[in-house]
Amino acid sequence: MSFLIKIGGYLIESLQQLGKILFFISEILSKFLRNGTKLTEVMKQIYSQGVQSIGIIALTSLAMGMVLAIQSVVILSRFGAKEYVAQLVSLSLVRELSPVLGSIIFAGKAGSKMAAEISSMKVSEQLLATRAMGVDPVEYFIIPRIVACVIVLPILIVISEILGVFGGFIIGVWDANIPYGIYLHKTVIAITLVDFIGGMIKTLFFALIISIICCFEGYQAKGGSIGVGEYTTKSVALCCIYVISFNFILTKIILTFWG
Amino acid sequence: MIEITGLKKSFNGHPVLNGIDLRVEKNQIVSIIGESGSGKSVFLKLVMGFLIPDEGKIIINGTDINLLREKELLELRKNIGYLFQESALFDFMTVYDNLAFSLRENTKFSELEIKKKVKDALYRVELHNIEEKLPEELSGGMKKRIGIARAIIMEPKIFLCDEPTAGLDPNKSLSIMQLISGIARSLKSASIIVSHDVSNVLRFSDTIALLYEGKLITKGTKEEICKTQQKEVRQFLMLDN
Repeated sequence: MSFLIKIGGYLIESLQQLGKILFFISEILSKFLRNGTKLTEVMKQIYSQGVQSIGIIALTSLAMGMVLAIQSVVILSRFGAKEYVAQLVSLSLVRELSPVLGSIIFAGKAGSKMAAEISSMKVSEQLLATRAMGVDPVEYFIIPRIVACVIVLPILIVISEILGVFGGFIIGVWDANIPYGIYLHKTVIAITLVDFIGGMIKTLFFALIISIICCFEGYQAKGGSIGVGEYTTKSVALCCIYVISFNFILTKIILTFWG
Repeated sequence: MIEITGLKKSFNGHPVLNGIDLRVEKNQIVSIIGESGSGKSVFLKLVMGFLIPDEGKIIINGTDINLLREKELLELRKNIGYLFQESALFDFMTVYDNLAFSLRENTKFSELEIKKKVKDALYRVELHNIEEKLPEELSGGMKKRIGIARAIIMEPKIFLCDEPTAGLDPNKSLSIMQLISGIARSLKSASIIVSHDVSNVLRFSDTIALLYEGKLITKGTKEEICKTQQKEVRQFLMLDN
């Protein structure tokens, strides 16, 4: 009986949470459509989320491309198909790895910062102070962060794809001795516009997921400095779960329509 | 002017405010005293429209705030100065930007005019040359003064202070209350101060009310309050000691 009560309680809590996040999204959407956003704040956020994340995204993407190429060379060499490394690396990166892993790394770097900033402002009554001064905190702090994330993440993912492919190129040419002209040619013919656009569509979804989750969790925060930590950790964990889950759904949809 | 009638608020079935009636006129300072946890801050949050009352009316300058939508409430709050207990300064902004915030967002003043107004506000709270400092570089008393400066920079007609002397030593408490009283008089604002700092409240308020078990059990001038025979009031003010 107590087990059923627990399940029931959990279900009610989940539905309440769903209701809250849907209300939060509708509030953001209506305010954005009605009043737009503050460009100066968007620019600040582009710097904070984008420019400050380039380093980590670049480094991890380069390493990701190199590791992928090393593993591919080993496996493909067994079948005498070593030259297909270029296609494998570039397609994997553009279709899946860069959008998904890049978004997860971004969630860890910029998303956690977003959640920590908002939650810290919430628990120290700075968001309330904003309202006290006649300024809507959703319009001033939340919407610019979401807009900036939607602008910045696709750019970072393109950088990730380029550097990932470059990482694969380094291994393919210098380690596996594939002539660089062949490697480049195979890379260029492997990636179609559909692959690139498919990856970008996913990225846009991930940008919305990450920014909304991090801002929502920050906005819900309570319980002082411990609360800030808890809500920040929760937001990053939720971002990882939702990015990976939505990747499956989006991949299925994209492949159904575009093959 | 602030007019509150029959204000009730409870949390999880536990009544915090149980029928508050209060009227604050222009150029009047009303202080609400009461024990910690008696609902003083909840009362101010209701007046600001941060919380929705279960029952009762809050009329500010002729407008029933319970009937306003969020956007209209934001508009109304531009005419209210609110001093937070912990100041609630933006910790990522300099003192200058903290003070300029509401001017930038709510007015069409040029940056030059904003600069002048920030300087004036700092002068009123007796602080100089700290515009470029971050809140973390300031002492508790200075933060409180910046909080006051931020609350009055729009020259509000309503001034609400939540525990302005909390966490300050007696000397600083006195100077902060002097400052608040002086500013409230110069703005001719309808002011409410909630505090448990009895001595300063008695000294600087026109009317004092004691919040006890969700009700304002007494209201009056310093003299009237000190003469009351109500047991709870005499106990709280330690008049029999």
